[in-house]
Amino acid sequence: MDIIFDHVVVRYDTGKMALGPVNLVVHGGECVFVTGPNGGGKTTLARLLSGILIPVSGELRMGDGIVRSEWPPDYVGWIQQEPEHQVVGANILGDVNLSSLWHASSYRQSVARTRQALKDTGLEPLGARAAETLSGGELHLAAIAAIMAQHAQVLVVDEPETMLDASGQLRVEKMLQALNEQGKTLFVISHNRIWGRLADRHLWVQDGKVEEMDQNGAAQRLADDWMTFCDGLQAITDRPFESCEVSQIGKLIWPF
Amino acid sequence: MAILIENMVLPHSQLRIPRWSAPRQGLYGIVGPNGSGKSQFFSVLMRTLKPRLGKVSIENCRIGCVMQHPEHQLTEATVRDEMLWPFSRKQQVDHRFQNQLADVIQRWDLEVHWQQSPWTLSTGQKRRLILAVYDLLNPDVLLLDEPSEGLDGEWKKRLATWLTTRAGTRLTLITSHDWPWLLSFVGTGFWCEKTLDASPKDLGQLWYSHQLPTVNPLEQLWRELLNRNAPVSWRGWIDAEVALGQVVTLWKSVQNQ
Amino acid sequence: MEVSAKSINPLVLLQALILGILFIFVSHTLWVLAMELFLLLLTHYVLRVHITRGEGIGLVVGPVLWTALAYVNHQHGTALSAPQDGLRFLAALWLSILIIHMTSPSMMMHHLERRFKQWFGRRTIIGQVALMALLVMRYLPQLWITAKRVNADVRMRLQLVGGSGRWKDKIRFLTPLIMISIMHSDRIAEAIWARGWRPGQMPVVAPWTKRDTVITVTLWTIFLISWKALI
Repeated sequence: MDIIFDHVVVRYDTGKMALGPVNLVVHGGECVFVTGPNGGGKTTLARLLSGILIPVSGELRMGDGIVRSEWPPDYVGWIQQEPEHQVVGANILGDVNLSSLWHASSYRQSVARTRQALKDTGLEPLGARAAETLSGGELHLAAIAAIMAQHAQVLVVDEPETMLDASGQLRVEKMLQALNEQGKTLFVISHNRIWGRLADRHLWVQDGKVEEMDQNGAAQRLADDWMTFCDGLQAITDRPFESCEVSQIGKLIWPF
Repeated sequence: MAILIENMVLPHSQLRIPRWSAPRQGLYGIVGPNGSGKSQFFSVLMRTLKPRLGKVSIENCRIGCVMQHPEHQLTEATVRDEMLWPFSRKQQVDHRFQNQLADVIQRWDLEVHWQQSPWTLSTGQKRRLILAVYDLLNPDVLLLDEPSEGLDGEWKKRLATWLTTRAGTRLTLITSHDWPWLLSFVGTGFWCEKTLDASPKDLGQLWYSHQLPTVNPLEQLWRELLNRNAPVSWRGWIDAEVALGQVVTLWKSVQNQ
Repeated sequence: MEVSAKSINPLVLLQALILGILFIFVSHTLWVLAMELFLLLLTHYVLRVHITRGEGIGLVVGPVLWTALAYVNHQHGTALSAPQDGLRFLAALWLSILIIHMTSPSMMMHHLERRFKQWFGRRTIIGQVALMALLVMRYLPQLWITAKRVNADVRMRLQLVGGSGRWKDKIRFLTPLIMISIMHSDRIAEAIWARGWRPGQMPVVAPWTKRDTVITVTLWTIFLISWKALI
């Protein structure tokens, strides 16, 4: 189902503009990479999608006209930057179970949801571990497992790289890719353009304004190390690259 | 100063340390995957966690720690009180102390926040405050748990510079997932996964030999080049300019052959 | 949850807990108390319950303190009555630990929430109370760990200046506990709402089975007969 931002404006309590006006149509099943500087409005966009913030004017609605306040409670899953607020169960199993027993239609289904989410995140062996004994990365994966068990149609993932090591990031990347292939709509918010490679569309959010651009445009604005490297290499070698593929560049500079 | 750990097993992470003796001084990384027990290891050194098994002996050792969450170290109403509460009035009026304090405030840029509540500071500012607290307290052993989190690029550089200048006078142990930052100034480290290495190894070698999966393309390229025995340094990838320099040299040498 | 009885409905276990504690505290005959402890020991070994170190310490320290308090109070006037009170406390604590190893308290809470909502309608207050209980179970241990970390920091700072500390240093942990609770509560509330929790929703829990009915009836029958015969 499409998500339509129709002249959406969000203000802070002080009256200052936080986001908008945003006019955007995101088609069901698309993956959107949202980036931009700190304080530009990215997390406001996440809170708006999650139903925590309500626009002061304009409308956020589904393609069939249903406005945000009437969306089903499990429609949007929000993976936050700081997982300690999100994991409210006493242990991992208990927390993932909460999503299942709040949203599944039967007990059998809720058990299956919990089991699958723990399996996908690799947390099965840690199920009984108390939340307060988990490391930051484990807590982040637990929060992701709970959102997986929610079976949301739209996923908002805020800075997935914050607490995870490279192995955790790869696992999350694969999970997000699989969810996108299943037709879920994804909003991935990050400063790190690596997440942009999952995306169909790229948004730059700055000073509350949302601007759509292509992948290279977003990467260049992020003054990303890899883009700097690729640009520099192209200039010196005078070999235009079709894409900044690691293996292509690797073979060019050291063909042995 | 002596820290010796023998036959220790930690709860939860099940990290085993057959024998680990702390170096006298220097900068060392404690590196390994999520959940391997790095923060728990620090908790043992701070005596907030009892190991499941084994012996920990800490003698004549003044330990300080900047924790992962700076909120756990803020107890006062102003930045000034947070910095000064451990010191007696007599210590505070001492001329030498006043000079040290002025240096620390300047180093961590805290003057503008001096009368502010620590709780109103941003995450990066809170971390700078706790770093300043332990800068002033000057411990023999400084433990830093993910210290670069919340700091921007400029402050990460300044923290690295400060740690490097103190490397000759104290032991600093750093856990961080920020490999490029860690590799930019730390020479050696202890690998922590199921067990903690007894002796430190080159941090670049640790990065390469443990083949951690990565999502950073520059890091991927470097690993590929190293796997094919290209003559590049282990740490070349942490800076795009350095990487470009090394790669261009490599490319030119290939063109000349 | 290492025991095979984990598939028993948490509400059955909750009833067993309440009836058991009631029975333990009204049984003043020594041989009845000895029998209760023997039954607990038997259950412990049959179900192969592995208690944690903290629970083990609690099982020793709790009854000793209870005995001391009973002795100081002299409620029963005889030297034997204080240790007997201590043993009763041990039995109640042991039973609670066994039950908690068979099902988690949060599972009991979800089952209770569902039952109350079935009986009284989907009232907001029921959902809110259940959520509060859940948050207490999650964040009380977290606060304990935070307090330990703050105290470690205070201790390290005092050691570094060579000070012995004042009375105020013992309670410094209160400020971060209060501030963290205040600052995080908004974000926790947001996160729970975003996860789709609503006070009126009905949690999906394991259905009540015939076996649960049989166990409940047996439990009440044993309780009533024993009460009549022994108390």
